[in-house]
Amino acid sequence: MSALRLEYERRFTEVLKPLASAIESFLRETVLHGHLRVERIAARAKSINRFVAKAEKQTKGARKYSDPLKQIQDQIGARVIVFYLDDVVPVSSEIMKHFRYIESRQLIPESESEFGYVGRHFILAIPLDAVPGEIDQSRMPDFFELQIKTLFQHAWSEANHDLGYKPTTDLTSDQKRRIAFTAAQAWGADRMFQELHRELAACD
Amino acid sequence: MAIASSTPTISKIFSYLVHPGKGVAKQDQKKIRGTTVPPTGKLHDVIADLFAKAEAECNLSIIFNPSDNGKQQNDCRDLVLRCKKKPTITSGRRLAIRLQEVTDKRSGLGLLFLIIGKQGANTQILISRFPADSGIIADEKSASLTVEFVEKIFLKNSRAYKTVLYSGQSDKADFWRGQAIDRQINDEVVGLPTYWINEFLASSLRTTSESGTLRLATAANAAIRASKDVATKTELVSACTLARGYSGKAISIRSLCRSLRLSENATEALKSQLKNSALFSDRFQLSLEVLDKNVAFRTEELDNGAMLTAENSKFEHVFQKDKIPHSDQLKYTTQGKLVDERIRRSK
Repeated sequence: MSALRLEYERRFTEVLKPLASAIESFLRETVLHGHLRVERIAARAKSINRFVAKAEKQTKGARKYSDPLKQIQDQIGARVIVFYLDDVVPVSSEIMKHFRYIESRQLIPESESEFGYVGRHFILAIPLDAVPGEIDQSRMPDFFELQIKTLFQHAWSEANHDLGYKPTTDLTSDQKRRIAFTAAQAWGADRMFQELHRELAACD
Repeated sequence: MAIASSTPTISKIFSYLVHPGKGVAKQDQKKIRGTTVPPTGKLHDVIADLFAKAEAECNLSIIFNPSDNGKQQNDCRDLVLRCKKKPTITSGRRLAIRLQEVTDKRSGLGLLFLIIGKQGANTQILISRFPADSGIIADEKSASLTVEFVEKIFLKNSRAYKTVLYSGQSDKADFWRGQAIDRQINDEVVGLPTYWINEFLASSLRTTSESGTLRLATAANAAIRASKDVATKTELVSACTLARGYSGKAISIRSLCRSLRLSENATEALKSQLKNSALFSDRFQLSLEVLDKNVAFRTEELDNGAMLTAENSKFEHVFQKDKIPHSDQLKYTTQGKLVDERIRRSK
């Protein structure tokens, strides 16, 4: 067992798991308290296997991360799932009121003819107000990742993530096309629900 | 920010004289002169002392802002990393130029020190600005005393002294968070200085105004409800009202307690409601809007000396308020069973 795995295992149990739970509570009870249009809030510590796999990633024949315990910023990942596309902006505004961020991105496929991963991503500083007294702050990562997704963006990314970890060989062209098809359907469903929501809200 | 516990060692000290450059035409800007401070001597000892104490003294937690398009990039952080990678008088001068660009005549002439060293495995970078002042030198000889007025002296104990410490190992992951001192906001409760933290360092306080103010309101509400002592309860309710006067100022709960001269009991009552000990000293910019929205208790004071206090959400039900016709007077009516009574010497 590698020294990195051992060290992450200790951090996972003693720091990341309780901290992820505290961040989830902070989001639910303080930041987004009373936001009716939030379907779900969840935060988790990156699993040991996924962390080690990411830490060992190579680019151009060399390790991508020279100091993975510091450089991997999604050791804690949080996700806020909202109903419709129109709910993303107000939730983002609430997030920015409570957290300092060093990155804020709207992820969309590079080309207009592509369909794939979409969502709003932040790299946020872990706020002192979320940290339970028993956690040693010197062992905490500085940042965590937070994603805001609609129900359909969430469903697609979960299934895509699950499929992505299964193949031992590269996906065929047809398989890639089918995945893009599901992403296009999720994109279309989001647009339809957004339009319906606006139309029905205007009738109220 | 990773903090190591061994004794810090200095590898380079550079110093630059920075004239105001904000609002000054490019052709009129003074050229920045810099020098390397030799590794021995009195000046080195003074700087070494600053460097050794910086970790303990810098208690203001700040964080670099991302680029305008939301990427993990900050111009000032890039300059700090350049100094770490290549600690030369030229790389340090870029930071001095950046400081000059945001320094106006009000901030005045300053002496910038850039100190690069190690503490354990961490590289530490300390950036300090000493403001220029004037003074009198007294030179006592065996049979005489000479006094002389001098300009351009630089004092560490000036209220305008500012410093920031960055510490870490990884260029990619570390050096986002810094620990700063700004005497203008460390000494007492005053306005947030934009010059050093926002403009020069392109940073913000680690805690947002919303989060910090909510922390204060939540702790105060919980402390008021939990306190069995009526005097402490009343003191805390008054503190919530008085805190409104600090709107927009950079405060911590500790500085607010000191500034309002809260009793030890009231201070402890607030402190005990915080999730961790670091929250007591952590600074944030107080938001009146957030405070008013979240403080649970409301006090109204009348010109006849009466003070009426109740939970904010119940105030209108507890006190019936009637306007006296043809006057600006109000009549309050309430009814209940007496549960406590006390006499105070002052408000």
